[in-house]
Amino acid sequence: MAEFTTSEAVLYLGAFLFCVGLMIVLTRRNLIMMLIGIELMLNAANLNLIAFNTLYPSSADGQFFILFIITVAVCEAAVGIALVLRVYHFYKTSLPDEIRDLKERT
Amino acid sequence: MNAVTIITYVLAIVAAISAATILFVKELFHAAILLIICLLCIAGIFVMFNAEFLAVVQLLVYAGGVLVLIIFGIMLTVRSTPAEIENSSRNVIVSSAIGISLLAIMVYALGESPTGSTNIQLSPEQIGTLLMTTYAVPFELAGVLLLISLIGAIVAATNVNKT
Repeated sequence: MAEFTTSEAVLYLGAFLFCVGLMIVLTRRNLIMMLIGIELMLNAANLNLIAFNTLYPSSADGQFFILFIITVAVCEAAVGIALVLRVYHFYKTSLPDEIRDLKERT
Repeated sequence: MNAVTIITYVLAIVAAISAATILFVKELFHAAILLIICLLCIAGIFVMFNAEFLAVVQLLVYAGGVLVLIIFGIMLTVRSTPAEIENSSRNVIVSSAIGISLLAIMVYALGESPTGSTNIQLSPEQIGTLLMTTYAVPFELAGVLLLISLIGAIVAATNVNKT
């Protein structure tokens, strides 16, 4: 490693953000907190793409890949929040540990 | 050390600190605000890498869309369980072991990864042309995916028992 470039710094930032997002998903009890962790992990992937795109200065594939990843992330957030609301209305809780019933409550 | 390098490092440090703080905050709302700080710093990093269009998309979509969704989700799922149970963490030792070892592996692997220095800078006109020619198929698929997922979100969030 001759000199430390900003691309490498962004790669390390991406690795750090991914691990933080993973730890949030694993440790937190709340469903919305888990969604926040997933958003962080997706953004870590975006950072990797923009850093590795510097290897190919003539092409913009990485930038367009990020554009479509952002689209998919928005879809995931919308569907995720809708499911959280539905689960909350049914079970009156947003903690996935509390959701144990398969059968409809009578 | 030029200005771009310094700004990139500052943005990266702020993003890392705000992301790490999410692990320790108790309040859900504070976590959402910290998430948006982190995402804004990432948008700034996009600008530093010559991807201004991506930075604008990141601002619009995350600050304008995802954060509003998350805050609405927080407000609509009003607490029914005690806050200390809801905000507490579980499996702290195991998951921090997993996270730290994964980070160590990735840092070790990134040590010899090749990187360049500059990105191509595209004008909005060029981006539009590329979206309509080279990336036309994924562009249309992304539109269909958005439509499907938004209809699905509406259907999933509607209370079907009341109809």
